[in-house]
Amino acid sequence: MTKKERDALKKAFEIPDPLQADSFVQRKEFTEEKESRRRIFLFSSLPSALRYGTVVLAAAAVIGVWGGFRNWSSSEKFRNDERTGTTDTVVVTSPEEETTAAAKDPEDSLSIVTAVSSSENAHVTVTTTAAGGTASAVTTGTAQEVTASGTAARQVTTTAGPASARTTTPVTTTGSGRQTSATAASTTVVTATQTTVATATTGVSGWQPQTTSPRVESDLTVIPEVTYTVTGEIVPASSLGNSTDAPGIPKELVPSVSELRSESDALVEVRVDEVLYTSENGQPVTQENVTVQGIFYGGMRHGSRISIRSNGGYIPASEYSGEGAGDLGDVFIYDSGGNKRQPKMGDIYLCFIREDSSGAYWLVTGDDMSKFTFDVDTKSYVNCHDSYDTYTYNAFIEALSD
Amino acid sequence: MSVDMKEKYIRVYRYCYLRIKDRSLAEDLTQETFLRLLEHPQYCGEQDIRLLYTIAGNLCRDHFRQQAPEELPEEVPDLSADGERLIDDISLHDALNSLSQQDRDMVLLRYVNGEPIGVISEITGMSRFAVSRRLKKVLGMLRKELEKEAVT
Repeated sequence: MTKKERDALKKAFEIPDPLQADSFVQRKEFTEEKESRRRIFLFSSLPSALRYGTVVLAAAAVIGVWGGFRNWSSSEKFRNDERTGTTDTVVVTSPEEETTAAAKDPEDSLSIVTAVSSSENAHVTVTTTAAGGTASAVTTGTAQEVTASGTAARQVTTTAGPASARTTTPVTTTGSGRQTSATAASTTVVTATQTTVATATTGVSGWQPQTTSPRVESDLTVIPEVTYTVTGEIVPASSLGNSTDAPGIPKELVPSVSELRSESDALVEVRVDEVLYTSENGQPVTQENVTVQGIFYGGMRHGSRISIRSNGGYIPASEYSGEGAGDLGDVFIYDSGGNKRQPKMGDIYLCFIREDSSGAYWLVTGDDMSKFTFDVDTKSYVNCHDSYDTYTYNAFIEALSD
Repeated sequence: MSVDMKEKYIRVYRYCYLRIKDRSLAEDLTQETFLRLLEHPQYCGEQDIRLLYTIAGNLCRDHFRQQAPEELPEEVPDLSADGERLIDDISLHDALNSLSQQDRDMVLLRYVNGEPIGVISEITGMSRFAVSRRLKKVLGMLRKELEKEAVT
């Protein structure tokens, strides 16, 4: 319809213009009532302080709920949920000297990622988003040499500086029914500010470790009746003819992994937090208070602290029951107890242990034949007592299954 | 606000006047329509034109119900008194008067007040297609009347 037709229609209706339109629309009822009606929806009838306070509280509640959800989702319990694949990431940053990052060869089917740095101020980070396998971070040698290794670990961070080396413990989880696939292998030398990232997707096969247990911080260590602080002169027991050390023990006398398993209550990966020297019946005993990092079997909890005892250590000559120590005076006697090396803080190893009546655990053989460390060069478990007794990860798992 | 409200006031006034044919009464009903709207539970600050038309229509019906029957005057009023009425619109005016009340309402709402088809369909209770067809038919008839007048 055209405008002309509209005007014609308007005229044809003969509707006069209203007279009171202007005065009516200015009435107070409409302006005031309209605003008061809107107040219902905008809460503007409330005092301004209360209104803004309510908004702030609502915002805080939303942020709190969101933060709580994030904490919960990143909590240990949440992360322990079963996941099928594992992804390891190694980042090595060295400001000065050369650094090597390596991931395990695929054909070995070994779920391991390693990073080695020999430079000062090196920062080695091994991060694994896996739910299965075991994990370890080892600091060896001086503070300038850092070795971090993880086997399907969740997170391993090792930082070495000029004066200190710190290792944060990864959470070890074990699972079942996983397929092995190591897909990344990388060995890179970087210098200056270069950064090398190696990624490996790994898994575990063969022997089935026990299911994951939640990480706890319980302290199950025991306090020995007596502890010694080693000072003054140290006399080796071997010089007295009483050493129980047995170097060069025939291989057939070394217990097999399956034998160790049958004798033990648990196989755990631990990190040594404290080394104490005590004695039993006049014989030196070393007590290591350790943190459980990984559990192959046994009624342990991740993160719990236990005491592991073994033969050997330091003992005052006056308390030594062996021969030839009576007239030595105020000296300490060192008896290796059959161990190749003395334990020290920061050591990480696998050990077959058995609980005694005092609540402490003993190495099942009493010496370091029950201990295995992980060799990053050969990527295998090495018996602490006899270095020729080595196992690849798969072989170790298979030996446990025997 | 007042401009928008005034426009609505005029539209409702036309709607009332078309039925009542009395300026002052149409204005009273228009104002009563707006006051009723203030008390309406659906009112939230905006004058919904559909609600205004509905209230106005109800008020007009109430007015006719309350009106006492009047006797017709003996003398026929002299329409020439307001003979300034445009002669061109006489035929169209007659054509509009020949329409039913509902058709007149629809023509007023659509072509004078400029309401959309959707509003008209809600007010009349007809479907949009029915309103559209009805308006097209009425408009065709009115155009024929205009063409006839132009020929004569």
